[in-house]
Amino acid sequence: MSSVLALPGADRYARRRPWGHFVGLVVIALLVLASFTAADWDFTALIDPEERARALGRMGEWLAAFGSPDFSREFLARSWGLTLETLSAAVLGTALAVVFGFALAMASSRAVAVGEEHATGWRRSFMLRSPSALLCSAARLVQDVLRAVPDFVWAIILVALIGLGPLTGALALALNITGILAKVYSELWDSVDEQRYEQVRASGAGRIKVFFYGIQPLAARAVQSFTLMRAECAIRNAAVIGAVGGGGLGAEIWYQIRFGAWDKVSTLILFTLALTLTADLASNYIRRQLRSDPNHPRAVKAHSVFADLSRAWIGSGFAVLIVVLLMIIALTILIDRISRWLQLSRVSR
Amino acid sequence: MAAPPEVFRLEGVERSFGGKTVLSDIALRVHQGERVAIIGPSGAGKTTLFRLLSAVLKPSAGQVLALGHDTRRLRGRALRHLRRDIGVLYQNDNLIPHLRVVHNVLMGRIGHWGLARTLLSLFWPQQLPVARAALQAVELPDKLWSMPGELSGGQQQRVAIARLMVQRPRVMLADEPVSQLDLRLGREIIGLLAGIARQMDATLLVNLHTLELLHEHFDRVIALREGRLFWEGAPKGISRDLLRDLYGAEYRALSLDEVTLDRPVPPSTGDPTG
Repeated sequence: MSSVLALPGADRYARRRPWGHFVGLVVIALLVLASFTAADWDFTALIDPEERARALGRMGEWLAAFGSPDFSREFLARSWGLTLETLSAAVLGTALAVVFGFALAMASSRAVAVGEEHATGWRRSFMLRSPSALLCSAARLVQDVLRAVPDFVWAIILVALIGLGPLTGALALALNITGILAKVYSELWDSVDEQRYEQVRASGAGRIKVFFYGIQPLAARAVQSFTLMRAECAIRNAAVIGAVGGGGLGAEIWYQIRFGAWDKVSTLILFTLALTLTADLASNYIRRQLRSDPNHPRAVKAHSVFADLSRAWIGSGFAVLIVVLLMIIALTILIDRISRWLQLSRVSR
Repeated sequence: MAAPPEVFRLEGVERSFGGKTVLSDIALRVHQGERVAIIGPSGAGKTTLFRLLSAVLKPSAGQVLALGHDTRRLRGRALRHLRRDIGVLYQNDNLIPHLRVVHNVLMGRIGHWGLARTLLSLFWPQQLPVARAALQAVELPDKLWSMPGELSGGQQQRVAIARLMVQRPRVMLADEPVSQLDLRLGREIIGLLAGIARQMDATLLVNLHTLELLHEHFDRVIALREGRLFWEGAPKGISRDLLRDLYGAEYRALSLDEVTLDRPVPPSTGDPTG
């Protein structure tokens, strides 16, 4: 008899071939197939020659309109302003979401909020087992609600509460992204293997200290890169949210569509594209700067304390600089808007 | 002569994970200032025993008295204070790779600091002279601001020892601290550990896989096998037969035959049968 089979637990596998994952795959395939029932298979636009000609004609008209974007000086200036407005809404929304999402994630992560516990079996999922477990469940409920309501629905709700404008867009984004970030952060923190930060706990640290000295640093890279990804998404979503009252590019696109001013819509879409592409490139750049991996081929092997320290601060400093710059832009736009609004109200009076 | 106070006292300790018993019927006493080595084949429950002693795990049955406290009864602050007095050195995962060496060393202090100071230290390291002195003692003074990934395995273990010095525990537990290092580095680390334990007047317990290192620094050897106490005695009482019984199938892999031949203190019993 070989020694492998003598190990405890080995007989379980020797006796029966595991098949659970095949069942899993079949179930997923069935679910995907079932999801096609919702699709409406209507190919008349492709099959019927008359329909096809009409559709092609419409497409031609659209393409012609989009092919000649409005590049007049004043509209370009206006689009640029709107782009900045969208960008600032996205950045403001993300910044708020990072702060609140972090706090909410701390409360809703079992590893952070509950910490070590010796409850086993069904007691582990019983939420009244301790006050911290109750807090954890409550925080999870909050983040689920925040996440379940899409950002444009938050925007519609907020328009009713605080009116139209980029601030509404920023808050709507913030609410939704808070839910998403809290979910992802808490999952990332929960998935850090407890053994990897046991030494922090063994040195006599409580839950919060264990979090900041163990869990958070171990998950930091994933947290940073996910936050950047979310910031990119926020910029894209900010453009959409404008359409339901969040201001910025989206609002203007919606407005121009209703007037059928396709050349202006085309310009605005070009600006939106430029914005999202720039956001992609910028976030890639920051991501590269933020790497704290000394074994990275491009990492600088510094030998002075100053250089050693500066390496860490360059990346984060750059990120902070961008955020500060955008905040300033957002503020100037906000002030500009308010003063214009004051003028308007004075005129109307 | 009055015996020094007990640091650990285990009575009928049993520990199981999900129905699988890893340790059973362990009775053990360790006194203040002792230097104890624990040996045994892999899977014998050495690491579990250490985790029980450091109050990270609690026994399924029986009693673990650590520094006079029953670890099963301890909660919250009392538990954290006990853990603060028991320093632990692991086989790996000693350092948090994303924190600079300075923070990893000062981690030994966070059990003593308040929350505000602990968090502030991440931005502006507190008690920097203490960290510098500890790194000086392990001969790594220039690595204060390095990332752990820039250090070699032996250097990382020395940083972890610097953390222990900063923590100033009454007991030091080292769980296979040298199994990832070669023999020369391992000897150096064990020597450093024993020296520091002596200097701080701390009790030292070490899990060892490298039997060559037993003879210099330890007063007592405890052998575990299949979750039970197999043998206990002075290092010079270890014989080749004992090791063969203890390690079973692993015996060849350890190449103990060669070891026993160049060992400074030869086995006291029996003629060589291999």
